[in-house]
Amino acid sequence: MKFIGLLFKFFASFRCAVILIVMLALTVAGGTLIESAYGTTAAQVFIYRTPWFGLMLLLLALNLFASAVDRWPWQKKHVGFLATHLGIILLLVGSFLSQQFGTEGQLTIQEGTTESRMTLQNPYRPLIEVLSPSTKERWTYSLQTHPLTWEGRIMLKADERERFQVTLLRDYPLALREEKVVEAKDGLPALHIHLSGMMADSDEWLIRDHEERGQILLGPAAIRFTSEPFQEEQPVVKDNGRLKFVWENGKIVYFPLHNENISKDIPLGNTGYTINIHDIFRDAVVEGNELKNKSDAWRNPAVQFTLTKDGNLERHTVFSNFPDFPTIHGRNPDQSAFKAVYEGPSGGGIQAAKNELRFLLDHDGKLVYESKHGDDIIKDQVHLGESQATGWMDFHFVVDQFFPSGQIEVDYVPLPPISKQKGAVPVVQVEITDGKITKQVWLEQGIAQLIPFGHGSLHAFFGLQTVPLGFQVELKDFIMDTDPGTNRPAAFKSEVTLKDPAAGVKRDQMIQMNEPLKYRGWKVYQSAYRLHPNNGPDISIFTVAKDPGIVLKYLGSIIIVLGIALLFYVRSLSSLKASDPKLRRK
Amino acid sequence: MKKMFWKPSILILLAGCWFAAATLHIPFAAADDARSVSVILDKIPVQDSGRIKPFESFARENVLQVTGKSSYEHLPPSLLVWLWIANPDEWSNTPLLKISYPVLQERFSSDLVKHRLAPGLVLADLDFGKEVRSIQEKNNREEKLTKLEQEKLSLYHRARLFQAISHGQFPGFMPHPDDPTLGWLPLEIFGMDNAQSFIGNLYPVDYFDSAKNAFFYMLGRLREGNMALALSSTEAFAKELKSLLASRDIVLDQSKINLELQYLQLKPFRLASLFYFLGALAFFFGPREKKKWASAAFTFFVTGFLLHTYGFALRVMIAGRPPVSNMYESVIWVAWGVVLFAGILWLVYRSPAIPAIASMVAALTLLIGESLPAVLDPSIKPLVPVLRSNYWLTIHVLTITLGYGAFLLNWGIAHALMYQMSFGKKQKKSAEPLTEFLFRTLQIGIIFLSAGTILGGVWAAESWGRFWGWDPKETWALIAILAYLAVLHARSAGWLDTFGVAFYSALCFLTVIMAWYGVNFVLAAGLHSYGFGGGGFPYVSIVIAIDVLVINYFAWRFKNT
Repeated sequence: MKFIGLLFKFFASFRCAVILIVMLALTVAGGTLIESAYGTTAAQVFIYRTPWFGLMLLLLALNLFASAVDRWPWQKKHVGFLATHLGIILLLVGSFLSQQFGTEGQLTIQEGTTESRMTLQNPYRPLIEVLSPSTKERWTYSLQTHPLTWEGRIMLKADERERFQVTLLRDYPLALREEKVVEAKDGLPALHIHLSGMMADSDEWLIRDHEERGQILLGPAAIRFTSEPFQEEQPVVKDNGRLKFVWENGKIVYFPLHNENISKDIPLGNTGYTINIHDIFRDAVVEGNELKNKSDAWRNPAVQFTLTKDGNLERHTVFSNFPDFPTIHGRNPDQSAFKAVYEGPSGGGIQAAKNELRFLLDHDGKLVYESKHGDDIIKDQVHLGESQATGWMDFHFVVDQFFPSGQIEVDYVPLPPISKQKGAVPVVQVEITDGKITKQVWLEQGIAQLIPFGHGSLHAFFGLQTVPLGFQVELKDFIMDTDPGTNRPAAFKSEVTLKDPAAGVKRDQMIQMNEPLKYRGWKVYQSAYRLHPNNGPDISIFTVAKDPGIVLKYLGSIIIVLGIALLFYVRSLSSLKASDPKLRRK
Repeated sequence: MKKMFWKPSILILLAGCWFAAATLHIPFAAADDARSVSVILDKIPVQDSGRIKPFESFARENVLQVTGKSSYEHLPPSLLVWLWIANPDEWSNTPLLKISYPVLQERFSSDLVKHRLAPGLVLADLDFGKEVRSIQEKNNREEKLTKLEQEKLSLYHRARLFQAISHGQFPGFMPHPDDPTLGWLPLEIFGMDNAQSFIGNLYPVDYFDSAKNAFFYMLGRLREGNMALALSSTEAFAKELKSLLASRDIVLDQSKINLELQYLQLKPFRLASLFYFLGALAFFFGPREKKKWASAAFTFFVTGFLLHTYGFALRVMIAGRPPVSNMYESVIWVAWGVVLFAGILWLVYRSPAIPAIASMVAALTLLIGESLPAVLDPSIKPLVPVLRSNYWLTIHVLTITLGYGAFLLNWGIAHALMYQMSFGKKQKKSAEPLTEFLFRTLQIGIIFLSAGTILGGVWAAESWGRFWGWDPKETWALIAILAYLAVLHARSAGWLDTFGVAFYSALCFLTVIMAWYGVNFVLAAGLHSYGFGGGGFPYVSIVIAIDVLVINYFAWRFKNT
C-alpha cells in the first residue's frame, strides 16, 4: 500500500512530468530525423506505431491524471490547471480512438468512370495474392512491411489452407527496375553500343528487331539493330498488311496477309504453330455476335485466324486500330505465349530516318553496319571496341559487346526509401512453391504478374488491400485552374456524382481543396491528380476517411486552449503565483 | 534599471556590422538622366510569374537571378534590363554572372573577370552544354544532384534566363484584349516578320506599328548610350504602349502598380530595421536621467513599428493575400510579432527594458531577413493552391508565427537577464523585472504556439481527414511547446532557479528555429512542402554555435563569480 502511495506521488509529481515531457520530445525529434533520412514509413514503424511509444503516451496520460487527482479537493483556483491537463487527456483518448477504429483509404477515379472500392491506406500491412486462373481459386498472404531495404526468408501465412507456400525473399521499399542483357541460349542477337556526339553521349543495349530495345531514336537520327537492310526496304506492307507476333522474350514473327494465304493451313515460321486466316475485314463492325464488313474502306481493319499447335486450337480476332484489345476466344488471353498485332495496310514497316545507323548480321552471322546520310549509304564491318564514324552529325559509335544470342534479365536495384527518382517502385521478391515446382519472382507493387508455372500459370499480385466503400462515386470532370500566363496549378477540383442505389441517393457535388464530400460518416477529400498527357481522361485521387475520435479531439483542443488562457491570465481561476504588483508602474 | 545591459564595445561592434551589411545593398545614385529613364520604364505593368507587376519589380528579381547580385555597376536594375534588350549581343559577351562556387570558378578560371562570367561564353561552351544536358536528364529522373551539379545547372539557367530576357521573350507586355489571364505578348513580337497578320486579330495594326517604331527608336537611343536623348524616346515608347492597350479598352490598375513601386522604393523593412536599431542605441546608450533620450528612443521605436506595419499593409495590398507564403515573409512577420508583444508588455509594465530588448532583436531579425535575398526570396509570388483562399489556414500560420515572435522576444529577454545576472552587481532585486518579463513572454509564446498548432490540426482534419499525423513540421511545433513546458515544470519541480530558466528558455529557442527553419531547409520532409527551400545552412549553424557559446559563457561566469 505504501508502495502504491509512493508510486502515485511520483506520478503526480512535477519531476515525473519533466522526465516524460523531455523523453517524449526527444523521441519524436528522433522520429522526424528518421523520417528525413529513411522516409515516413520508417518513422511510423520504428517510432510512432510501436507499443512502447503508445506506452509512453499512456504514462503521460497517467501522469496528467494523477497530478489532477493529487490536487483533490479541487478549488476554484484549480480550474485553469484542470482544464489544460484534462484537455490533454481527452485529446489523447480521441487520438487512441482514431488510431484503433478510424479508417483511411484512397479512391482513384478516372474521368467518366464510377468507383466503389477504396485502397486502404495502410502501407504497413500489404498483401500478396496468388490466383490460379484455371480453377479461379485465390489465396491471400499478408506480410509486415519493411521500411528499409530487406533481404532474408520469411514464410508467409495465407488466410486459408494454402496450396502454395509463399516465402518472402526481398522487400525493397523503393527500387529501380534494371534490365541487363546476358548471353543465353535461344535468345536474340544483342549488342552494346556507346554513342558520342556533339549534343550527347549515351550507352545502350540494342536487341535485334526488339520492339523497345531494337532502336535508339535521336530526333532526326535513328540507330537500329534489325534484320532489314536499307536496300531491301520497300513498302513492306502490301495488299492486306501483315500480322506481327511478339513473344515474351522479344522474338518477333511476321506473317504477310496476301490474298492467296487466306483459308489455308500455313506453318507460322519455325514456331511450331500452324496458322489459318479465316477472314480479313476492312471496316469491321459487330452485328449480333459476329463481325461484319460495313464498307470497303480500310476504316477498322480486323483479322480472324486460328492457330494450331499440338492439337490445341486458338481462335483469335485482332483489330489494327485496337492493338491492346484481348484477341483470343474461349481461353484466357494470358494462356497465349505471345501478343498478336495486326499492322493494317496503312501502318507497319520501318520508315528510315534521315540519318540512320543500322546494325545487321551478314550471312556468316558477322556484325556489319550500314549508315545512311540523306541518300548516301556507307557499309562496313563492325570492329568491336573501336570507335567508328557514322558519317552524320559528327556522331561516333563504339560497339563494345556483341552476343549472337542474348536475352534480357530483369533485376531490381534497391534505392534509399526517400529517393524521389522517377520509375522507383516498391517491390518484393517471393518464392512460390507447390512442393514440386519452385519459382522466384519479382512483384512490383500494384501490378499483377503472370507466372508460367508447370503446365499452367499463376497470377500473383503485391499491393494494398482494397475494400468496398458502401457507395459509389462517379468522376464527371476534373478541373485545374492555373495562374495567369503560367502552367502553375492555382486550384484543382473534381465534379463528382455520389450514388447510393440502396438508399436511393444520387447527388452532384464539387470536391475541392478544403471542401470534402461528406456522406454517412465518411469524408472524401481531394488529395492528388494525374493529368492525361494528350487531352485524354484525367485521373483524380481522393482520400476517404472516417474518424470516430474527432469529437473528443476537438473538445480536448478547445478545453486546452481555454485552460491555458485561464491559467495564465485569469488570476482567480489560476494556481500560478501572481506577479509582483510593484512591477507594474502606474 | 540603473545598470546598462551591454558593454559599449559589444554595441559598437554590432553597430559596425549593421552598417556594413546595410550599406552593401544600397545602390549608388546613377546619373540623373539614367535615373529618369529608369523611372519611366519602372512603371510599365508587365505580366510575370503569374501576376501583374511593375517592370521594376520584374527587373529587380531577374537582375538578382542573372547576376547573382542586386545591382550591376550601380545601374538601376530596370535600366540594366533595357540595356540588355537594346544590345543583347554586346551584353551577352559582358561578364555578368557572378560565380561564387569555388569548383565552378576553377572550371571557368580563364574566362572569369572579377568572378563574373559572360552568359554568351556559358551557352557557347559545347562541353559544358553536354554536361548540363546529362545533369538535366538526371534531374528529370529526379535523382539527387550533387552540389556541383546543382551549381552547374543553376549557372546554365542563369545564362538562359539572360538570353530569354535580352531577346524579349518575357515578361509579357501586351495582354490578350479578350482574356487578360492568358499569357501576355512579350517584346519579341515587335521583331517578328509575320507579327502583323497575327497581331491583327488582337490590336489595330496602326497602333501596333507606332508602338513598334517607338520601341525600335528607343532601343537605338539606348544603344548609343546617350541618356539625355534616350529619355524622350523612352517617354514616347511608354506612351505608345499605353495607347496600344487603350485602343482595345484595356486599362490596367495603375494604383496597384504604384503601390508596388512605392513599396520597392521605400524598402519599409530595411528602414524599420534602421529605426529599431537607432532606438536600441538610444535605449542602451542614452543617459537614463535625461528625458530627451528616452523620448527619442521611444520615437525611433514607434516609428520603426509604424513603418514595419505600413510595409506589411502595402505587401498585403499588392499581393492580395496575407503574408504567409515563404520564409522571408515569416521572418518579417515574426519580427513584427516581437515588437507587438513588446508594445503590449510595455503598456502593462512601463519598463523601458522591454522596448530596448525588442528593438535590438527586431533590428537584427529584419536585417537577417533583408540581407540574404538569395536564401530568403523577397519577391511577391502567388500562393500555392493549398494555402489559397483559406481563412483558417491563414489564421493557423499567423498564430504559430506570432508564437515564434513571442519566443524570440523571450530569447532576447533571457540573454539580457543572463547578462545582468552574470555581469551585473549581485543584487537580487534588479533581476526581478526581467524575470517577470521572461515568464510573461514564455506564457504568450506557449498559448500562441499551442493554439496555432491545434488550429493546424483542425484545418488538416477538415481538409485532409486527419488531425495529427506526426508530420515533421507539426511534430517540431509540438517539440517546441514541450521544451518550453519542460522548463516551466522543471522550475516548479525545483530543478531550475531563475538563471536556469533563462538559460534553458534561451536554449529552447533552438527548437523554434528547428520548427521554423530546420524542417523546411534541413529536413525537407513532410507535407508543408510549399515552404521548402535550401541554403543558408552554414549561416544558421554559425549563428547557433555562437549563441550557444555566449549562453554557456554567461553560465560559466554566473557560477564563477
